[in-house]
Amino acid sequence: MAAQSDHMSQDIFPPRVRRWLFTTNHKEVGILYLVTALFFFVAAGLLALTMRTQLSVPDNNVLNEGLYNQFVTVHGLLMIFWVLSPFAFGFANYIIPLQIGARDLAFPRLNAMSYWFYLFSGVAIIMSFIFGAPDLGWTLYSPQTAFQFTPTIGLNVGAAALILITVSITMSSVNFLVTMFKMRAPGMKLRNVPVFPWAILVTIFMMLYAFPSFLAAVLLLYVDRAFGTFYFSSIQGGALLWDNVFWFFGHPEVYIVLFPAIGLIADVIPTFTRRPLYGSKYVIGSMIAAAVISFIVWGHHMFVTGIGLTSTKLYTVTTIAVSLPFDVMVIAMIETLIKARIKLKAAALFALGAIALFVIGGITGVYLASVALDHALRGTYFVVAHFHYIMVGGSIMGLIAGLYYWFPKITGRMYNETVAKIHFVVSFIGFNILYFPMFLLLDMPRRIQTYAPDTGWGPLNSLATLGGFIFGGAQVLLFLNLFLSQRRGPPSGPNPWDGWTLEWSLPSPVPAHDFDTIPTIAEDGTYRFGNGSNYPNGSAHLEHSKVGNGLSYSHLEGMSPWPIVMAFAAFLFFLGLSIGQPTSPNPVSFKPFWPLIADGAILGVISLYGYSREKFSVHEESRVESWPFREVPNVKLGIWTFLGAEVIFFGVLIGAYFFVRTNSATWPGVGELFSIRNGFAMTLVLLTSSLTAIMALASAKIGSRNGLIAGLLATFGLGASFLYIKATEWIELGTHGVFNVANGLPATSYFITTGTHGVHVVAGMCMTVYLLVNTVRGRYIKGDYHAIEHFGLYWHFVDIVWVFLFPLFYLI
Amino acid sequence: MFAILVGGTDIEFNLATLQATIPYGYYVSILLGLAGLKAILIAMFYQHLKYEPRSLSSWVIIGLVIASLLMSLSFIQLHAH
Repeated sequence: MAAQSDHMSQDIFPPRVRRWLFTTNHKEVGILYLVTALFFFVAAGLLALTMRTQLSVPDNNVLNEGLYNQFVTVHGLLMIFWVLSPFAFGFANYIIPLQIGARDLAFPRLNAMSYWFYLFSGVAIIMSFIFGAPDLGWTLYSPQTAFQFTPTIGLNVGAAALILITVSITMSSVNFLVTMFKMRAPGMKLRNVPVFPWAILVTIFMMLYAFPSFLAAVLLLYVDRAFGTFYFSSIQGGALLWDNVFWFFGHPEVYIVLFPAIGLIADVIPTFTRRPLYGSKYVIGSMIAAAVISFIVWGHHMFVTGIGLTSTKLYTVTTIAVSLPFDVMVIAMIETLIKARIKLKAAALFALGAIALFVIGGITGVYLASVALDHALRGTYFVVAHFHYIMVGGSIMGLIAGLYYWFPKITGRMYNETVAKIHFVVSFIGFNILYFPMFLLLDMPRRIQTYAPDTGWGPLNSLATLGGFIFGGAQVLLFLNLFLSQRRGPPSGPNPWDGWTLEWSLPSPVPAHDFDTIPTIAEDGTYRFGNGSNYPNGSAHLEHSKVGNGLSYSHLEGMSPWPIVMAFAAFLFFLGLSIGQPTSPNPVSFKPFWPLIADGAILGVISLYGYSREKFSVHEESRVESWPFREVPNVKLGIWTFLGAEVIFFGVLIGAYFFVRTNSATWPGVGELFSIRNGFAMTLVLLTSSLTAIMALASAKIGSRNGLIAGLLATFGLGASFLYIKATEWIELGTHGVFNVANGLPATSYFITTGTHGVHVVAGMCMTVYLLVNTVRGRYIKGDYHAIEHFGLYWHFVDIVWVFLFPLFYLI
Repeated sequence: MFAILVGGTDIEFNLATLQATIPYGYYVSILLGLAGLKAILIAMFYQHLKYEPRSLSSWVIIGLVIASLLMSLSFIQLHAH
């Protein structure tokens, strides 16, 4: 679909700048992601090279301990959150609509906002160095995160950055999910979708279930530091609670950063072997299986934490089991290669190299699944080598394959193939010189700033450092090649690789509107274009021909300033929450930096208003493949998907409550602290507000403006009543000195969980105000009631959460 | 439906007053069961999941089942410490 906006800042910025700041076009957003991810790649790489310099010889002092720890932490955070996934989603943004035959993503402005949230979150993490960057490793293990061990506010800024990027990822996930289910070209059934979009789809499912857990964990970390709560600094909560909530997210996360590269390799190899991917449906099935199993292996990161024997046995089995789907994927790729005449272009070389390196990393991962071996190897450089073979060898090399593969399509120019091949050779050699010695350093602890000469680790570390500089230096070739080729490279033509997927049917670079005519895919899954030899399904095609007989649509460009403004507002708001100075050490509390918070809040309100008022129409194609959600509108599917993520988010908060309560010897009895009547009253109020929301929707459907206004006003009023009862309860508990966050875990869990719910109620009330204003203006009563329905979905969900919180906190 | 939800809440409230007479395990189970039932009713009738296409309701149910299994696994693992 193409987007159209009638709101553009005509005079403030030059056209070229305006284009990149306000674009919502998926291709331009994709380019922004790619460029930004490569920038962070360089930044994280420089941190790594500095660390390698520090470790190159014993007793070195290039970096002192504190700075070294900060470098380790920020390197890890940058690579995992700001490089690997965004790099992949840069390709996903650009390529997936083309591969499935769509004109853009389902929600173009949301897509742009995802990018700007990502960018500003990256600014925040870099800024954290100013305030004393996080220095605990990317895993942020507690209780080191407690204020008494990490008194700098850099960790708060890091937490803010992580919250912002999680929001970005959630928005992207909803967007891609709706796009891929609801916007495929006619005939593009799910079985005909290429492997790369499938890999992204599986990745998105993992993101939706994993990242809310991480968001909850970071939120709890933040309130521990900012308000002196006790989730991670108590014996009942502490390190084990953090380990569980973090690694519940953390293990799926490592597959989240890997699967896009695997999908990409699965698209590249067939092109350069001129064969369909062997067993492609088994590859897709394996990805799904691995994604599911990835959620039940997290305990293998905790083998040495003292978890019970039953748990260790379970996680050993599941960890070995998760390797099996990857075997299928690798075997499928190898089978595709056997006796194939491989065109050894740079993309193919990187894809092959990625497979080889991923296999090495994967095998060493199976070693670590053994509890006995894990006890010996845990926290050593063996583990560092293992995950770098996966993350860099598998993922980064795979993504670089994608860069070479799709560079002609994105820019319309060919890069220098010779330089690219030199880049591969030097990278491959440098990578192995850098990381293979680490397998041999299996008695060297990780995350140490230096080591003594008599350990004997010096030579291997020196070798690894040499490899690091070779590998890092090789990337200069990449940047030079692509930068110069983008300006001066020879025209690539539409299909330099004779590829089979739909993007190669389009001109290079792809025009703004993508397809002149949306393609129609034949019943057997073929689509005719190009001049190669075989189709993926084996049938030959002989001629250049127009793709399909689909609908035509005129080109429109959509720009909007509100995504960047909203992202900047959120950045200011969270920065203000995180850079306040501590006011007291015990219990710790931070004084928020109110000017920034106020600026962010005001700008946020303005941008929300502007966003909602902007006439940004998005054309929906009438003929699309949308199974299995044929009858479900895009926005509704998006909202349900978002609510699914919220279920996990609140589930983790409630789970943390269960955890600390189960581990506590004593807990206030029923009615001892909380008035059951208050809880009962709040429940009735919220249930009634759901009823009034239903009545508002019914009024909207029959076109009753007064009924709609009454329903919305009643919902707002009841929401306000709920918050009033809640506030009086909080004040009474707090001012009597009986129950505040300093009183331990009962208070901690109560205030934070119900407080988070309260924030959701406030958000719902803000939506009610917006709907009321529009209703007064005459909207929603002429058949366009869907916004009321969507608000209801959210509001009833808030009600559902309270339905559980009432018995959990007031009755048990 | 509103009446059923209010009635369920009333049962929860009154159960709390009888909490001392009911074995704690049953008490917690009944309360959480009632909460779950109310949540299902809100989802089915207020969020109209009952009247939505099966693909959407299946989507939600599968997600909830998976989320519940994951949470249950977590609790079992936590309890086994």
